[in-house]
Amino acid sequence: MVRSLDARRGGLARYTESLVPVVSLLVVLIPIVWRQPVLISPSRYYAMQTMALALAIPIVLASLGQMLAMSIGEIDFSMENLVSLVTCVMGAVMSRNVALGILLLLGILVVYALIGAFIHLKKLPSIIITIGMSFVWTGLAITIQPTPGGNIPAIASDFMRLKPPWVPYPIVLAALLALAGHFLMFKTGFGILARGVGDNVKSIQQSGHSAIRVRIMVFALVGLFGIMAGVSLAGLTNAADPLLAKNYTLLSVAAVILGGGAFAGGKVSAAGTVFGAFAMHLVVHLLVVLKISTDWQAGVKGFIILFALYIGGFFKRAGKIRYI
Amino acid sequence: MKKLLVALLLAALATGSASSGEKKWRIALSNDYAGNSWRQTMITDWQKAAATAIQKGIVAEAPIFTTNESSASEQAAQIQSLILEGYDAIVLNAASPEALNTVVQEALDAGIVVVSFDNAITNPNAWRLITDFEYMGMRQVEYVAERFPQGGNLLEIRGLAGTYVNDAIHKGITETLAKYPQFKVVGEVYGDWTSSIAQKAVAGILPSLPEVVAVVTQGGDGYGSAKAFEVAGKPIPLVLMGNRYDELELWKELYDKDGYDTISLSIAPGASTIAFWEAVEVLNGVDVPKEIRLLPYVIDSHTKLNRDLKTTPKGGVASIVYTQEWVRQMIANVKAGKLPPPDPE
Repeated sequence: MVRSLDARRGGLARYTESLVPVVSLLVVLIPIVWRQPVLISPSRYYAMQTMALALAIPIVLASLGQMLAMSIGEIDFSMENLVSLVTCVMGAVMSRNVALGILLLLGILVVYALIGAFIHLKKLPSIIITIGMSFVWTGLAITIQPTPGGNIPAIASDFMRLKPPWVPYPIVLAALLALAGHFLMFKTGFGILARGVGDNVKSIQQSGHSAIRVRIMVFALVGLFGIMAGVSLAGLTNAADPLLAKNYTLLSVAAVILGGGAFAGGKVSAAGTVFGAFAMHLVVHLLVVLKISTDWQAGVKGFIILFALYIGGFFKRAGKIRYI
Repeated sequence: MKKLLVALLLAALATGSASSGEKKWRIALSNDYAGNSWRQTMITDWQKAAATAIQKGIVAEAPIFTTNESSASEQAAQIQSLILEGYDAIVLNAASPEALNTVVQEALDAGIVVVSFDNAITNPNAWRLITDFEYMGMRQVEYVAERFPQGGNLLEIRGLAGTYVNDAIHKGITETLAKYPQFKVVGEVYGDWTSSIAQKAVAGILPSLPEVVAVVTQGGDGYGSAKAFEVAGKPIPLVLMGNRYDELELWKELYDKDGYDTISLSIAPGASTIAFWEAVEVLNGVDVPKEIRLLPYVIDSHTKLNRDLKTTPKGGVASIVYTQEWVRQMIANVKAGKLPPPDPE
């Protein structure tokens, strides 16, 4: 139903909608490049650009994970705890015993698959289960890495520090992730089913598909993206810290929404999410550029996010008014 | 569309560029958390030192940047932005002792002076003011052992789980307790260095506790812990305090009533001003040792208690705003292998 409306609204409406995350990103980016022009200058400042953008990659990965959960109308409230735990697995276990480290990460994937099954079978909201899991992940993290430490396997930090020619590495990674995410959600049977479960689970079941399989696969992928976020964050900071990824849960949810996704499920955009994640990362830079009094910084950060959402929403509405 | 906007931006930037005047230092404070009285005092102390330095024409500006809820990943991004902004020095109270080492190295490689204090980082190439947090734990247990030679049960209030400071104070307590087997820790709760959280946590564990003779703490949690005993109708045991105004006030009040006594100790929030002036010294080309150890500020007499109650604002923490002269003297003393000079009044 929704899709046929979309189709009737035609190309231009979809075009303005896909602008939403771009506009949100620009709201944050324009004042920054105003003060820090090296960010968009040519390759002379390549190293600077790489540095300024590298820490967006773990947020992009966490946000894509969150996007998968939100595509079926669920949410992962334990994202920051999972990502932090993975940095601890990397630092405390992987550096000493690779097999055990991989086993632990696989264990996390299995738990995530079980969460998907549990949500389906018990009809429990994911918010409850994942809030519970957030304590489990942090507890585990503190057990294996009681205080912050740093002993990340070189392969993770080396991978995060590759230097491709011409384009800063974080942008290469982000583009690849956006493509992969888009392909997964829109060009595979799995992606269509997942969005279908989020949009109207009954119609998916009536057409003979198993909703539990979709939910299990989606949550396993949420876990996978969370693990990749943790590995990349550990590689970038060279640190294992049970609290390292603080705020990632809210950042990732905001990135999905900024990217044009919806809480209700069924509607997501991988490229939009990547843009949204970059916007969320750059808000920190914006606060430095604006030199807000320290008492107001937290509040202003919230205001910037709301403003970016509002401007984005403005574009979205404009599209709807004209074409429905 | 995006390309067009970028092109427009480039054009706009080409017209506006920074003007340069005479060289005064630009020093940024990168702070990971501002949500308690200690950090608030740290910030006001910094602002006092910065105002003096600006007035004297030593620095051009010394803004403060605070991340949300102590997020190390966010603080790393913040420091990278400070590098791009071209600050001469970054003074750092870190969300994580390890997770900022890489980005601090990036700053040092860019020729920026990095001074870390309070929650110090472990990167040995940066200038580090290390607070002896284990001493804070040790000193508390020594005092408790002096007051109760016969021993007894202890309640331990921890800080924030998974942080270095929490672990270091706990280590100091545990290691010193090994010398006094007559004491037994019968309960342990997390107070997050915050009075209200400590009060809730202690109130929760109290019904299941045997009688305790003392509560060892981490600072900021003493008032809440004492109140939890009071609300439960139990006598307030010896609670070690952490230099917060409400803690000092409670100590004074109980002392005036029935001679209740304790000690109070914490790193002075004014350590931010030591770091500030140290950054100025390094920028001015002075050879400053990379690692300097600071002892916590201990209030162990009623003279000190009365003086600090007068000078500490309500809701603040007993503190000292250090002067440029004092920090110069301290650096000279450290280099000569001597103790730091006495605290300025």
